[in-house]
Parts: sequence; C-alpha cells; structure tokens
Amino acid sequence: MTDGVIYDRGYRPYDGPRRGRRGARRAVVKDGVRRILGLRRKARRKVLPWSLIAVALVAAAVFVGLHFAAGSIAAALAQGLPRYGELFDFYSRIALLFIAVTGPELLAPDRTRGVLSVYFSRPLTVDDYLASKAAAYLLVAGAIYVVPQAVLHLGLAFLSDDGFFAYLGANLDVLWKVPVVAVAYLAIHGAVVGVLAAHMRRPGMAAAAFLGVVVAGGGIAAELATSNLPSARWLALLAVDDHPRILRDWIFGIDTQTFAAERVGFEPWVSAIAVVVVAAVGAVWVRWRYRRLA
Amino acid sequence: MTAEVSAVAVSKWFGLKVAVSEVTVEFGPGVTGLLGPNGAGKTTLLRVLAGLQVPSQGTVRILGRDPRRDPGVYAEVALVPEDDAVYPDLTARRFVTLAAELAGVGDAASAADRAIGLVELSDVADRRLGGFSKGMRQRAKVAAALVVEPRVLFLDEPLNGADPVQRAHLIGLFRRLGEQGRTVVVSSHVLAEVERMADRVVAMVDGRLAAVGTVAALREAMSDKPRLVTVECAAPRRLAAALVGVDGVAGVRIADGSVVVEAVDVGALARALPAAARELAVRVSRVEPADESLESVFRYLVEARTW
Repeated sequence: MTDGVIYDRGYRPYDGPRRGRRGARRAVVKDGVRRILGLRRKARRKVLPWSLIAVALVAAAVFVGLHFAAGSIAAALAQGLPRYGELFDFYSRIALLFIAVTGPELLAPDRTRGVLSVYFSRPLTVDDYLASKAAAYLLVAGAIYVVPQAVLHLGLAFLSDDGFFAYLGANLDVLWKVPVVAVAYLAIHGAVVGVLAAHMRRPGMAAAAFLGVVVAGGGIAAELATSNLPSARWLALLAVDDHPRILRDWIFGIDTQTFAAERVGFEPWVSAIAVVVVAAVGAVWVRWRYRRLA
Repeated sequence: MTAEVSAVAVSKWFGLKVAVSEVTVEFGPGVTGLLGPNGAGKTTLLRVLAGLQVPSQGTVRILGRDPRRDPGVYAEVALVPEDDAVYPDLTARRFVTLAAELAGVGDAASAADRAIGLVELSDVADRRLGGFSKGMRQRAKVAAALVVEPRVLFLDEPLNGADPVQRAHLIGLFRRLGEQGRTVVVSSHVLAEVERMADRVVAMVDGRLAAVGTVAALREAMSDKPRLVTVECAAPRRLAAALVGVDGVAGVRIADGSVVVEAVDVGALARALPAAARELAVRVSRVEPADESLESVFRYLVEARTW
C-alpha cells in the first residue's frame, strides 16, 4: 500500500458554450442592476435603494387610496389630487435621491478599484461597457418612474365608473406620455451623474456634487436668469432639472408652475432640445473619458 | 516558436515620459518572464500587449488579431492586472463568477468553482474579498483570469503578497499552463521567481528591450563578459596560484573556501584545470559556473545599459 497519493490537479479545458459580446454585455447589465440594488452586497448597501423603492411603491398605493376615498376621478381632480403629470413631481424627487445614491456606484468603483482592466480584457468594448451600464441605470431608475404610474393607472382603471377597460381605452395616450417624460428625466439626471461619476473617486462625493449641480446649481441659474447680467436669460437653460418638468407640462397639457426658462421667454421645445443636448454632451463626455482610461 | 502575441516597433509615451521605446518582441507557447527593475516599462508593455492601452507607435497582434479592433479575441485571452482590481464587497466566488459571465462562459458557476479550486481558495470562496489578505486577493484575480480557459494569459506581478507556499503553488500552476501549450507572459521584478517559472526571458531596462532568450543563451551571448567558474577543492590557495598563469584566465580569487575563476576562455580553463589539479595532487570535488543564474545575467544587462 502506498503512503501517499497525488491527485492530478491539472487544468481541465472549458469546452462549453461561449456567449461572446452579447453575453458580456448582459453580464454587465446584470451586475449593474445588482450593484444599484445592493444585491449580493453588504446589508448597508441595500438600505437606501430599497428604502426609496419602498417609499415609491407605498406612495403609489396611497395615491390610489386617496382617489378611491374621493369617490370618483372627477371628485379627486376637484380635490387637487395628483394624476399622471403631477405625480412626476413627487417621483422625480425620489428618483433624484435614488440616482444620487446609486448612480456613482455604477461607474466610480470600477475605475477606482482598478477593475476596468478586468472588463476590458473581456470581449467588451468601451461602448459595450457604457451602454450596458446605461441600460442597468435606465432599467432600475426607470422603474421608479414607470412602476408607480402603472400602479396608479391600473388603480384608476379599477375605480373608474366607466369600467376598467373603458378607462384604459380612453387613456391610451398615457402609454407614451409617461415613458417619454420618464426618459427626459432619466436622460438629464443620467448625463449629469455619469459625468461626475466618471471623474470623481468617491461615490459619496459624486452624489453630493450631483445634488449640488441639479438642485442648488439649478436654483442659482434660475435666479441669475432674471438678473440684470448681460444675456442673463440664457442662464435659465442651465437649470437642467427644469427642462424635463417643462417638457412634462407641455406633453400632459398641465401648468404646474412657471419655470425659469418659461419666465424669460423660452418655448417648451427649447427644453426638449436642451434635454437632448445635455444627454448627448454627457454621453460623449463619459465616452471620451473611458476611451482614455481603457 | 509560433508567435501568438507579437509587438512590432511598439512605443508608448505619456506626455514627455517614454515608458516603452521601440520594442519588437514575440511570445509563443510556454511561460515567458517579462523581467525588469521597477519602472522598466513592464506593466506598460503588458497593458499594450493585452490591448488595454493604445501604443503611441507600432502594432500589437494577439493570435494574429488587433485586440483594439477585435474584442472577440478576448474570448481566448486573460489578464491579471497588478492593481488590486477586485470589489471588496463581493465574495471571491461572486467575483470569479462575474469574470466568467463577462467572458460569456456558458456555465459560469461551474467554471468559477473550478478556477477557485485551482488557486486553492475553495474553503474561503464565500468570504468577501475585502477581508482577504493581499496574497489571497492575488489568487482571486488569477482565478478570475483562468475562468475563461485562456490560450494567452498575461500576468502582471502575480505573486505579489503571496506566501511562500502559495508562490510555489502558483509557479507550478503557471508552469503547467505553459506546458499545456498556452502562452503565458509573466512580468516580475523578482529574478528568482522568473527563473523558477519561465523558460524564456524578455528583459527590459528603461523602457527598452535589453535581451530576449533563455537564461543560458543570454549568458552565452555575453562573450565580452568573463565567465565565473567556482572550483571546490581540498587546497584552494595552491590551485588558485596554479591557475593564475593559465592563458584565458583573467583573474582568480578565493571565496568561501572555493576558487572563483574569471575565465575569458572557458575551454582553456577546462583543459588547464585537470592538469593543474593532477600536478598539485589536489582533489577537485566540484566545478560549476557561478554566473549563469538569471540574477547574474540581469546584473550584466542592467550594467550594460547604465551608459
């Protein structure tokens, strides 16, 4: 009998299927969603995103309940209860916090932890990587806008005196208006948080900077736009958070308030262009940054 | 040698700093040590070779393809970067599985388990990487690279932080990968490590290619340097005195009780030594080259570059 046995620990080749670039992109999206939601991370990473999601869902149920308590949709409108357009004001604030907390986490750690080389030594281009990160962001942050609106839509359909399907049929426009406005919000916020996360080392700092640019920066720009500075009116366009809201009012045909750009005479289509320009500049900027890093 | 990775006239500069200068080199199956002191340009060359950085000049091909234009080549290539390059809040298993998923491996979980086993991290695979020692994180990175079954593997200082047992294990693993016909390029500034794992050496000094070949071939090529030969014998002083006058011997000294001969002509020494020992009735117990180690060769290379 031998005293010892040496087992072959040699390398066994993997001969299973390989999913190529599509598989790599899917993996980045999946990991992005997990990272945003704190899944498979420490418990403290789950607290903020899931708290905000819970607030969003509970609020949607409360809004439906308030409509139910009002007795009818007409009575609810008479009492000033928010509907699709107005609901964006509430959910955009939740989404703003959500994006501030989770957006930088999507990009910054890959860079600061030196993990980019792990990504780019895979069948993945810079564009694949960034597009997949953007997809993860749109998927989760988009749900914060769309899911509560869907809950409200179905709730109102159930409460409708005309019947469930009659209500859905009469409100088909909601199916394109809500996604378009949600994309406008997501594009503006995503562009700003993307640029900041692509440069700043600490996600916490990037989150603070994001809120500073969107909330404080927007407020300052709005104030300066009505000052006596030369060409001051153009500063109203720097209040980036106003553009999706102006677009929202325009699309839903409501008038929630008069925004800085409107006060200095810009038409709503200017805000539509501003959304596209900010999103495009953000995308090009982040791409330029990562092409240098990769 | 079949070149699986090639660099032709590759230079890389960052502003005014030239990190890699006009390097033309090929890598084929087996383990090649990319050797050089800190700051020699090893990491930059490795990143350029792996397609992670665009060369300022020159061309790089992996398996005949340009990695910058054809990311599909990464299905057969993997890199272990020098940076920590792990997420501290992920477990080792999750990190390696993510690497497998990124590579498009069909059964990512099984592939991850296998790779984790190869680097002997199975027992701690479900612990977070943030709690790992540096050596354990290195092994997790190696597992993340091996998970794709690479035909070409680039490793940048892969043994940093590993303890002696793990070093020996990883060196054995890299050698096995080389013996399987994979192209393994390992950068290191630790000569003993490179000597133990690499069949062939690419030496860099100040961003330039200083030498390419096996250690013995490199030493052989340094015909301008006298060869050091150690002779162990019973009467070193008497033998040393006899060897001083031999043609082809540039110098003789006694070190640690042995005769160290600087031979310009090793053949002449080989003929003269037995004769001298017989004539003096001195018993010679051992004759061996003293400067065919990688360290000696590399010392010569670095000295040659300090113009």
